[in-house]
Amino acid sequence: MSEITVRQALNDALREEMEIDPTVIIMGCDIAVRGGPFGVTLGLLDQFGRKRVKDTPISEPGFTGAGVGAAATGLRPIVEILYSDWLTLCTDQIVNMAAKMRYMFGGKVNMPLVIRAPFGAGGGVAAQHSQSFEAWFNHIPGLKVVAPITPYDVKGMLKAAIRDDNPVMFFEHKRSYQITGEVPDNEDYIVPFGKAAIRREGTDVTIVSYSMMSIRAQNAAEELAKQGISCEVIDLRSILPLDYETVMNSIAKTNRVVVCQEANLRGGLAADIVAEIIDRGFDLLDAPPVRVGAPNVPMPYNAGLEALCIPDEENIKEAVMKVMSND
Amino acid sequence: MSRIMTLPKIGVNMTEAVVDEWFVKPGDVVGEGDAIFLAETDKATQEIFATDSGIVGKLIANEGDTVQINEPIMVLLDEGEEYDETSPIAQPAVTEKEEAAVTKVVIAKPQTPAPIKSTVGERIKISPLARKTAKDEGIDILSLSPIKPGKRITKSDVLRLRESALSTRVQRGAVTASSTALDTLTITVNADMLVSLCQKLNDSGVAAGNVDIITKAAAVAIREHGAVNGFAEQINIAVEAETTEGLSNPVVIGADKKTVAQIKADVDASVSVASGANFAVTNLGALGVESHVPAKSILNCATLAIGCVTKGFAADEFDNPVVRKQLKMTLAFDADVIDRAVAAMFIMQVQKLVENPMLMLAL
Repeated sequence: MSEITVRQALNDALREEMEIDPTVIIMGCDIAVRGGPFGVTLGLLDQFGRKRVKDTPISEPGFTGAGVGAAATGLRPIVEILYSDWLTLCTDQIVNMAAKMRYMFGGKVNMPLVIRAPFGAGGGVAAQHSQSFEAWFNHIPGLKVVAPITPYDVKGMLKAAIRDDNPVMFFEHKRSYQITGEVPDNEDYIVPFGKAAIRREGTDVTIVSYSMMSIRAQNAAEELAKQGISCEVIDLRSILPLDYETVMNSIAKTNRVVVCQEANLRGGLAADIVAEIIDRGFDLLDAPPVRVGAPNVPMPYNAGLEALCIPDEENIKEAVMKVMSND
Repeated sequence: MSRIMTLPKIGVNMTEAVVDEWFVKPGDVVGEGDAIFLAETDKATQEIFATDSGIVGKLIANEGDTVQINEPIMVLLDEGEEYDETSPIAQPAVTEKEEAAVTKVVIAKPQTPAPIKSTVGERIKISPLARKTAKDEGIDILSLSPIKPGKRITKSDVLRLRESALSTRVQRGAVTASSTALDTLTITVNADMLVSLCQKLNDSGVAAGNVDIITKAAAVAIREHGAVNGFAEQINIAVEAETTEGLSNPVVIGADKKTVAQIKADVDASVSVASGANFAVTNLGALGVESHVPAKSILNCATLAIGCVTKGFAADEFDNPVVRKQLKMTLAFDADVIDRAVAAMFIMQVQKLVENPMLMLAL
């Protein structure tokens, strides 16, 4: 095992898959010569050459559409959208083309396309660079959506995404690249979609989370444990498909649930998860589920206001206290 | 005094009603709030309720008549009174009429559907899990209350009620037990291995007597048959010893988890009456009594009475008489609280463990 960063885990996953499969290509703005704005694709151009590591013009609809075409005709492209906020530009290619093609052609076309999209808030990048759109794509049949956070999961899930014959939205948190964790050396492993990880076992409250919120949930759970409140923290890792079996098994034990997302609350994934929990296990609940998310405002640039808007450990602790209060 | 009942106003816009069908006739007894006739009003066909009680003297409005509000519809009499056209009739002042009728209707109307109103009207703040748990436990949710007023009723509130119901039941049983005779089960057990174990323990320097080993056996058996101590989480056994100077009953807390030497030490250490016992062992055997039946329980719990070890004949596997050591044990309990079958299973388990104490190593 080696302790590596999320950045390195992504780079390793790309390199390994490109070594294994000559049809794997990557494209996006500044990913070749510069090695990616976040340094994720460093060294890949030198190793695999310009045909497989392509810098593109700043036209998300253009190069995403090229990715859809490449996937439909036999390649396994990975398209990087520098900030997931720009998914707005290429959503037609993703929603109407990539997600529909296999279905509308009666399964005669595969769509092994991976869209890598750095998302999440923090760092003072303001309203157009801080958004989390996973709920939009969770709504679309035909897509898979994942948001891993540990280096182990990031590497294993990116490899799984590249090998998947369906379009995968791969959301990596833009504040996570320096997070470190253990990853096995010289082992070709994947982390399958649709299986959540229990990061911490507990008996009083289930905290459902993913991406950066799962780290904040673990921190909050540590502090709550000192007050005698035992939280079970679930890191979903995979949003679509979502491992409701693990979620419901946990709720059967705790009877109380807090669901966290970093995006603003309205119309969010947490609402969808809560609705599904009620459908599946109304009688398991000893308290109304509580959601944690950002307020329904554009992310402020001002550092103080930004800190106020990003849901953090305090918000999760308040939610846990609320779900425990029986008010 | 005969008096006139007028048509009450039961809707804001109601001005009149058509009498569809009378439900009462002269001579019938009518109570306030009883339906007296079916009326067609501006809204719908509905029942009109009596605004006063009495005996119907005369129906003034006939079926098919249209009656204005506050117009007379019938004459009511008191008991023993005869209706007489000429007798004086109390006429409520017109100004009071409407008001009186309206208020009375308001009171009268809910009388028929009263039980529905009282349950439908109040929303009970209860979690889905608590509601389901209550249903599974056969507990009426109207009997539940949250730990603090205004809070939601949760599963823990249901469990709290169940626990208190259980302990009430045990207490109720205990009251009966102390005031009436208990049920008793008596068995004779083979004490060969018990006596030999005691001997071996004492030879090895471990001071423990029969009663300590039997107390341990009872504690281990209670683990399997929790009804015997009211499902108390901790098995606390009072070891009663009658002495010529009075009764001593030290309590061994968590007896099933203690060694016989610890049980002996606990018993020796305390002679005062301690609280918290949920089972009792009484040992008149120490005074040489062969068996006794506790007529009442001092500590309000099931009691196992131990007799002294005697020698007796028993049949071996070829039906030949063999001499063996044996002792009698009597379990006294209140059958209102503990099923007799459960009590029997319990005492059989104690017998098994006393006859072969090594089994406790595995339990």
